[in-house]
Amino acid sequence: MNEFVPLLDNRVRDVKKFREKIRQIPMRVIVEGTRGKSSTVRILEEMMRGLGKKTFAKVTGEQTPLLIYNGVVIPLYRKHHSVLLDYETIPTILNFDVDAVVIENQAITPYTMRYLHQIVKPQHVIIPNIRVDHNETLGTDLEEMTHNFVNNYRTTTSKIHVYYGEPLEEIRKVVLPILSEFAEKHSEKMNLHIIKIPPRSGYLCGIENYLVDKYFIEYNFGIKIDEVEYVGPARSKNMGNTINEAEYVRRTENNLKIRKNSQGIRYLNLAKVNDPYSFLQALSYVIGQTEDPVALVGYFRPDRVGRTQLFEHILSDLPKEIGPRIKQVWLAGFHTELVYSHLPPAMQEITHPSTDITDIDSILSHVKKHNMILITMVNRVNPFMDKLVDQLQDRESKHYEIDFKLPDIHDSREVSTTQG
Amino acid sequence: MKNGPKKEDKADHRKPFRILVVEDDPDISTILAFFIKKYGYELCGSAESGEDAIRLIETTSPDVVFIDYLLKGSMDGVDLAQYINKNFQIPFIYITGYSDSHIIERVIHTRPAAFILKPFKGEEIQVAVEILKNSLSCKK
Repeated sequence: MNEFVPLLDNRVRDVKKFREKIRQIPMRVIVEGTRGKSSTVRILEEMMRGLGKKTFAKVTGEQTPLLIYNGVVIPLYRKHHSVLLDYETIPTILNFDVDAVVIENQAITPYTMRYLHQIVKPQHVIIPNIRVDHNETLGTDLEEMTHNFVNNYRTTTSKIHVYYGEPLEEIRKVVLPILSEFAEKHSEKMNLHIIKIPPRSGYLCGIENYLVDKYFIEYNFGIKIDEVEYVGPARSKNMGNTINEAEYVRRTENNLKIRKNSQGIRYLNLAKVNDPYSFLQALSYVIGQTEDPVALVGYFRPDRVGRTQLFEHILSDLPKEIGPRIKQVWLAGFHTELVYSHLPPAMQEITHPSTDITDIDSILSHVKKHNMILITMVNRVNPFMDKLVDQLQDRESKHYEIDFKLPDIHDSREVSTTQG
Repeated sequence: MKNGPKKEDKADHRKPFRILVVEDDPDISTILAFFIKKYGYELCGSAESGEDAIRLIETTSPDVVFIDYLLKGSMDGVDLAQYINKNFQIPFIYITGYSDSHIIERVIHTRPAAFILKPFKGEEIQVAVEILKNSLSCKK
């Protein structure tokens, strides 16, 4: 507590500074919605930087929030085990020249979402998609969730451009009328301009993150993305590489690529794709790439009971949706027995409802023995999934098992690592 | 960035910030050295391997270490970062050509002050150092 009070005081000061400075930035963009917000921010930051715009971006990050300014990535850490992050870096960055700010709005609660709008006062809001997730706080169905998103715009009294990138028609036809109705109803107070990104034929899960940014750039700068000289993270030795649409498609496909670790276990981490609808889309895409048997492993969190319930429906419908390709399912975490009891008999036969962290080795042995592709699902952030994903990736990387000790730093021949 | 940060100018007039570069590619190392001097910092040493870097840290006590992900010798950049955390408590900044999320995750576990993705421009070096300097002065 003694540490917390001054930190909180500093936070109030930092937020005040942040609000004052951020509103002076000429272009202010908030990215919100359900899935792919971080990717959308990262892609837009790259594109803006490629256009020579000094861009400050913030993403939530898997482990810790990340600030990005002009190509430099700065992780934010917690101070002294406090719940407060080291936010003093943000005012520092805002002392530099900033042409544009792009901030991810975490979809936690309607209040937190609206609070960011009040601070940033964005002229542009990018929504790659709105899917049913976080329904403990954001609404029980797509309609209610969409209303909670559009209520964010009540904080503005000026013009605001909303770029909506949802590629799936069945979701667009629910969300777009709510957006339009809100714009019409509040037209005297604000000018809500909705830019509908047209869906393309075929759907690659996650491609909307790129497409919505592409339209943003074309709309605001009148530049075709494919003609932009790219100076962002093309990486390797290809300095000055030109990024075109094919590159973003390749990256999106790469996110859905089945990986193989050094133990020969094939896996794909879809636990990050934690809105159930997107998970189903991604799973269908992956299953279309292989004829091999597939195993699923998921962890249910006690604070995500809404997601648990949605995944229960997804699991129940799997035999109908994708046929008999799923050969084994492991359910870990909370309420797994209840989920299991609601599954149809065909799914119950292949499901282990009482999996825990001690079963990870046997899961990995099983999928290897039966040449299955292991797909993680439901929730990424929990000890079970941390251990499982770490083990999968440890085995993929020769560096992960290093417990580095230098017996004598003056004799490098004695240094022993597994690097070889 | 036109002239670096608009405030915090006072710190710039004190002794130059001392930087150690650990990079296996001599061309990149040369470019880094050029930018370090250009922006008024001091290059206190260059190493191509983690083992050489450790020796140089002991003898030169840099303010910050720039670390490439891939190094010569038996350590990679993350091994070196872990060693620095354990033994020196000196801030470090990764300079890496890898934007793969697995590598970024692994890199962040070592709590770097920042990381700069290759290909980089000189002003990115300046931005990273100035943010670090400000962060260090706030902590004092």
